[in-house]
Amino acid sequence: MRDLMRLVRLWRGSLPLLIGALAISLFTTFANLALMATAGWFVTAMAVAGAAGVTMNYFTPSAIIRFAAIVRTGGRWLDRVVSHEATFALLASTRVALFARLAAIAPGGLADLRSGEVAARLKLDIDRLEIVFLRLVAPVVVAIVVGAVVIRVVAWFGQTSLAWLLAAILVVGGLIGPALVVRAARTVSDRDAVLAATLRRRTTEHLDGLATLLVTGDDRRRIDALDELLAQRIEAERRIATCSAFGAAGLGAASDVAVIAVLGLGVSALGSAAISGPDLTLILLLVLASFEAFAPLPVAAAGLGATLVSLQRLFALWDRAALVEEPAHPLRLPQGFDLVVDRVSLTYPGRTMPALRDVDFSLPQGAERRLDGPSGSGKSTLIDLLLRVRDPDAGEIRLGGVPVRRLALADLRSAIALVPQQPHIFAATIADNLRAFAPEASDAELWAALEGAGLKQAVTQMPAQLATYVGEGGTRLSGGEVRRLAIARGLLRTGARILILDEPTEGLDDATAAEVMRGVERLRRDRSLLIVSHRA
Amino acid sequence: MTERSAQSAELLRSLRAVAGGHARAATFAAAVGGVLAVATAQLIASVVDRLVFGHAALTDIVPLLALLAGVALFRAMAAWLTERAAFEAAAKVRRHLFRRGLERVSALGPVRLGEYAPGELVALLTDSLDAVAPLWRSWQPAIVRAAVVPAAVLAVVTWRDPLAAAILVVALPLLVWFSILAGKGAEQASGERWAGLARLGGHLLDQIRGLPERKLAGTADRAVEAVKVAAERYGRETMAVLRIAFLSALVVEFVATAAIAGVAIAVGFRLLWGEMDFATGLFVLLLAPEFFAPLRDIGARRHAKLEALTALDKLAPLLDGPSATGRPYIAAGPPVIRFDEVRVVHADGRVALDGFSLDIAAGEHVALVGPSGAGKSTVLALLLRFIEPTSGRVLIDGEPLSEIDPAAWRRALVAMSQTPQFFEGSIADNIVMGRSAERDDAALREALVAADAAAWVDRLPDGAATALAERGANLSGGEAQRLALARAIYAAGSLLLFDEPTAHLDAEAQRLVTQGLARLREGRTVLTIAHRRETIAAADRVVIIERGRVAAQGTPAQLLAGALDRSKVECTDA
Repeated sequence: MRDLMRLVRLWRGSLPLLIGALAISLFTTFANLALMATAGWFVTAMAVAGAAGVTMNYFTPSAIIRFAAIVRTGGRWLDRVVSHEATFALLASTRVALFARLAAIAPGGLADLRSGEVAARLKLDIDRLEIVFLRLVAPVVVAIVVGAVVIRVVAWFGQTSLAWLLAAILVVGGLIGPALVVRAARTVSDRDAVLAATLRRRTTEHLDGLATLLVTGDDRRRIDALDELLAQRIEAERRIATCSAFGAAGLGAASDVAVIAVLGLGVSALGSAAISGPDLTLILLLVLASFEAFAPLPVAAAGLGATLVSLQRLFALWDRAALVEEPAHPLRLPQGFDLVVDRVSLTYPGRTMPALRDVDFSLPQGAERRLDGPSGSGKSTLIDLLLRVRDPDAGEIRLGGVPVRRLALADLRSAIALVPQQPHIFAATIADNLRAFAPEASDAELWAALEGAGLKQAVTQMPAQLATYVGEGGTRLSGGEVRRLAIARGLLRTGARILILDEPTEGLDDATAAEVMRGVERLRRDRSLLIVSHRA
Repeated sequence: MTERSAQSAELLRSLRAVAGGHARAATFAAAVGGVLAVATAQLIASVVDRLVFGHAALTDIVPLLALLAGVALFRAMAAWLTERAAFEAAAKVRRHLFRRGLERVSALGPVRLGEYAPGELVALLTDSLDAVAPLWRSWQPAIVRAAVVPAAVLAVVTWRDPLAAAILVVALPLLVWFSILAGKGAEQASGERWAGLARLGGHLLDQIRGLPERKLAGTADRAVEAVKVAAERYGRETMAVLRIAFLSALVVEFVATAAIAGVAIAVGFRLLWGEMDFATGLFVLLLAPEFFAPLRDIGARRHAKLEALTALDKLAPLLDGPSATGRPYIAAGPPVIRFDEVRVVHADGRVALDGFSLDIAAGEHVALVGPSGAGKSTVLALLLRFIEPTSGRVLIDGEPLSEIDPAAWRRALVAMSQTPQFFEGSIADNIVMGRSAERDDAALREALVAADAAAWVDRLPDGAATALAERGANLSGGEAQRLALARAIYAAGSLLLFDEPTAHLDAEAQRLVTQGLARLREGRTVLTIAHRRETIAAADRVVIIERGRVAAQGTPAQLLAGALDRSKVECTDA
């Protein structure tokens, strides 16, 4: 529930729009009440007049009925449009705000998360917030206001005891029922969310390890286990469904009890002439219509748990901290760019063996160095430290004599261009993939970088050249082309003083590798070059 | 989208049988609930009539109120039963689909499933299943109500007041026509929304994966901008779709409201003129909204139905196909293998093997060598039954492999790959796997000792019962390969299939695993994909594969001495 309040604070800026949508919703609901009540009164009054053989003014009630019918029909449309419009605007801004928050803590703060998981939260969990206003806040507010007004109207007709009785029925059937559903569904929703995540993880594991499972004949047992897991998940959902069915059936019963109450208490009221026949029908239909406003509550109540779980996950992501801090008073980027690593050590949290221990290393201005070693020897960690993805436990790294911790993060990272071992290729064109890293680069500069990376000829032969779509994750490119595209990105970053290439020639045949290295050598000009290689 | 594939229609038919009794119970309860709603309206109208015009005392109406309470109880029970039975029907369908999906996955195997993008299968077996459920959970009861309630209302109203019935009958086709129009629009729009949703999802994943690099390159703010554009576009697209749906709902609602108003006017004036009794008038007026409510309800649920049918369309191709069967395989010592002019063409047209012929004697140890893409893995995949020859035959002890039951055949196989796969469970579970119904502790111990893993496993807090992290993430490369070796030793099949299992290991681990493998291969037929000099040297015969066929073969000594054409071979020294 605290998360729900946090969400309300987050959406504060759009509150006027939401309140407007709520007002339309209320207005429409009241039009419906007026329509039903007037129609009931009208029919009874006409019958009374007919029985007595007198005429009556039927113009006023029919005008009210027409007006209410038009308002109800148009209002429902307007209500849907405005409330959905407001909600989707909110979802979009929430998505962008969360992504911006992730961008602020990247890359260190996201290192231990799977990107698929993050994307699922940005998509599915935020989509689920759609329910918060549309199916939760708005219906609850409308139901409460409608209930209060209907009870007030009944009391206005002098039916005080009936008003109290109706109030009790509405509170028990319309509010306490759903509240109990919320309570019952809450814990089960948590369990359901855990089971859903486990099921997805185990299914992924099953599919990824399918070859091994088939060869060892273990797939049968694992299928049974997965099936059992789904059965458990369904059992959790069954309880939620039972709660929701109970709430809905309870609400229906409450509506019938209210009708019986109106009719039962109406006997004496009619007998004592405290109320007229048409008024009794009016009250009856008013009460029946008021229950329509409560109808969405049981379902919303059963779904609240899942929404709260989503919210919890979102805020957990939101609250992640960056691994490194900006210096309070950053120094200016120095002129020289000798890179010195001075007795640096790092042990990852939760590990006992250090990843780096007392490492010394230097890359003088304009020089070229190789960093060799088998995988797991700490090369990737060292690169992370150079770019301040994380900070070392001990020792110091200096750029041009200035400790990197004293430089603004953006300045430090602008001075170093890294071509990672596993570059991400966007599902976009060649040009988009290059400009993602050098937004201002001209076509000529793109071609020069492609040439330097030994990719110019291949791109020239592509159907749309720079505008060629490379497929999701660059699947339409070969492994070697992906590598060279990433190198071209690094070469485009002309503002950088140091170029770091992680395994630049992996997956390239000897001739291409030599061509790439010649291009890099030519285009790096006075930039320092660090080549990381996993070959011992 | 209106024309569903035959596959998908067949699947839907079979699922109807699965949902069976519960679905029928839900249908029955929904219908009863609808009829009881009509009875309730009649009872209310009677009571009001007696109160207002009959000046009845409380005692006069108590029986009717009691009856009303009774009907209310049955209505609540019917509502409850509808929900619960519909849930059970949906649950049965989900479990059936999940199991059937997993069984099909087993029957197809990893190679044939390769055409699915990573994550796509997981989404099919989880998200798509969840999307199918509403078809039984909410659509079925809604459609029953939409069929039963208007019919019941119309029947009763026709009997009591033909004029009102005529108004309803005139409105009905108009409403249905607009609903269908709206439905068509919504169907198309829903397809677009799904495409939009998929695009947004893909875009977000793309931007998140690229975020670390762009952050380091100082262009993360542009990524935020890109996400903003995509998110707003998604909102706009969704809203455009919904606006159409809302507009059609408006028209439907307008027709319903106009019809109800028409009924009210017709009733009102005949009451005024004394041409109708009040009980009938109120009854008809109470029922008129009930006539339209279920029809509007199915309009609101149409999107769930569309999502469910879309999901079924996606599931159908995976689920459609025979399950693999065949003759049992009884191992009589190490098998003799013959590849006879085998040609393998993948689904996408790639030719993996082309006229591949090879004879392997019982107990022989053959190393396969060749450039990547030459077809080495396909040879192994054929023996693993992950793929079948497009033409030609694979013979085991002279019998066609395709006639043997794959599960039975695989019991004779032991496979080790470069990267062993582990699963949630204990170390013991990960060694025994599905090899024996009962765990043989002595054999497990023996396997751990033989794989040189016993000392390390014993140091763990729970020994062999220690749980592995997801995919064995807490194992080092050496530990993982030793457990894989123990798994192979425990399996004790008669044909060993290796894919350079000592790659990616440090020298010490390599030595241990090589020793273990040497022990393992005694008295068994061995086929191994070899890159490293030691692996090649350990074989009886080396076969060089190129472009899907045998290019040359000879002894390891001949190959290593350069007598075979080495230029064609990738052979790394270590």
